[in-house]
Amino acid sequence: MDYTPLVLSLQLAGITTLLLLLVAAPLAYILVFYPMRGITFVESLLGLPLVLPPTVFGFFLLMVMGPEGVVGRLHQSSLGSPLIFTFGSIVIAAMLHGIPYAVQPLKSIFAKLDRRLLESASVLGCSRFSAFFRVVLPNSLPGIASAAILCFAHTMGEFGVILMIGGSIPGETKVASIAVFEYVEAMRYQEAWQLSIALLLVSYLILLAVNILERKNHAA
Amino acid sequence: MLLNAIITKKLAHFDLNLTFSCPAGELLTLAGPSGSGKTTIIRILAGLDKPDSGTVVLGSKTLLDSSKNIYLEPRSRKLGYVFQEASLFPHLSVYKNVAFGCINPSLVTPLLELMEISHLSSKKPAHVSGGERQRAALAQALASEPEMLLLDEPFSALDIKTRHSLQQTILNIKKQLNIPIILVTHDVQEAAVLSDQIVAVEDGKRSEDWLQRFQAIVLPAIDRVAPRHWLESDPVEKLSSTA
Repeated sequence: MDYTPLVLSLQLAGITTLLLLLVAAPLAYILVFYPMRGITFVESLLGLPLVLPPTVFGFFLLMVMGPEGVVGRLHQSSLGSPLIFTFGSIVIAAMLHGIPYAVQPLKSIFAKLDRRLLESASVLGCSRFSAFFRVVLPNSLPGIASAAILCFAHTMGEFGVILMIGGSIPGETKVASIAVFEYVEAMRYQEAWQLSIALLLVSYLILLAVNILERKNHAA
Repeated sequence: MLLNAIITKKLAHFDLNLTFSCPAGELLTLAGPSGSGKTTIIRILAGLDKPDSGTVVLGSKTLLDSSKNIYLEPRSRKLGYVFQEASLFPHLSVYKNVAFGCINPSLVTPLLELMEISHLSSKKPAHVSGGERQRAALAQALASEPEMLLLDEPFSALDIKTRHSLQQTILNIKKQLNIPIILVTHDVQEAAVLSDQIVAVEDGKRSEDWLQRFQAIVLPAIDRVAPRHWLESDPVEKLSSTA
């Protein structure tokens, strides 16, 4: 049994989660505490992956990141190689598709913070940037951990978007969900079973961790 | 350093319209019933709310001038602000809370001693009493070496003994600090004990009626209870001797 697709899925989920949190946490902070004019349009745009079929979202990405797309051409001209069908391309795709899954829970966590803490920090000389690191993040850690686990779980289950952007290149873009699909298509049910059970176990452990964290949050 | 404030703001049920001044070393109380606009005024002084129009000048520094479009962010105003319920940072110890906005770290220990909370330095705010939290909040505000101190009903949630003890601390440090202190309270007794100047506010405006009622009924009662009786030690001496 080849577990490379599972390892690839775990690598993709880990890297995507880390990058997503780096992008989504400041974004959620701005959306909650410093909403600007026209923010509703931005929020609706960020929520598109929740409603668009993954294949459609993947198609749009393919048009932008492909050899004829703006980003794809830029990548080709600067690095001399195509962007799509690489591990990097599926990280980008998973990140863009996962943004609402990270931003929404982070927004709910930040919205629960007592605003007087930020006001107090501000009066004590803290800039907005500094308050994010000195006040917001340390007081949201359990919630951020929950959001991270959810992002990880969501990326582990990515299929449509990754198939559109990365195809199925063994060791490069063939993640567990795609491998299971291919095993079933080829009627290799034993391998499909083994990989599916492994995915099931990983997913269960993730959900267990989320629930334990949430219980701890409520208790706190 | 003199504080001059002219504030106008349209609120939901009335228009806020108030002018007042407070010299350094004095405590001005904005007193009045709940919902009269007192907290809005103190928040405007802090820069946490904006008025429709007005000016706030502290010494030679203009914190706000709507006609010239000047608005200094709260972090640039050099203020100490004690909220109604202590807004200490729950993830930090009492010591780190006091040191949060501190420019001169050597001030932290004397301030903890002044507020009689040195023994709580390593504790998180959740593990100390309400009175101790307010003492820590006051120390935190003073540690930033403010040019004006704003107290928004800081003692209202405390029991009477703790309240009197904290009021005494304020009385003791008032002259030493030599900055304008603005207190918001609906407790007339507290206003009479602490203030050099009382601005009675009702529906966003000065209320002579309210002040007269206050003077006729409450002040004679206060005269019979000398506030100095609450003094148990002189914390200012402690601060001067450790500085």
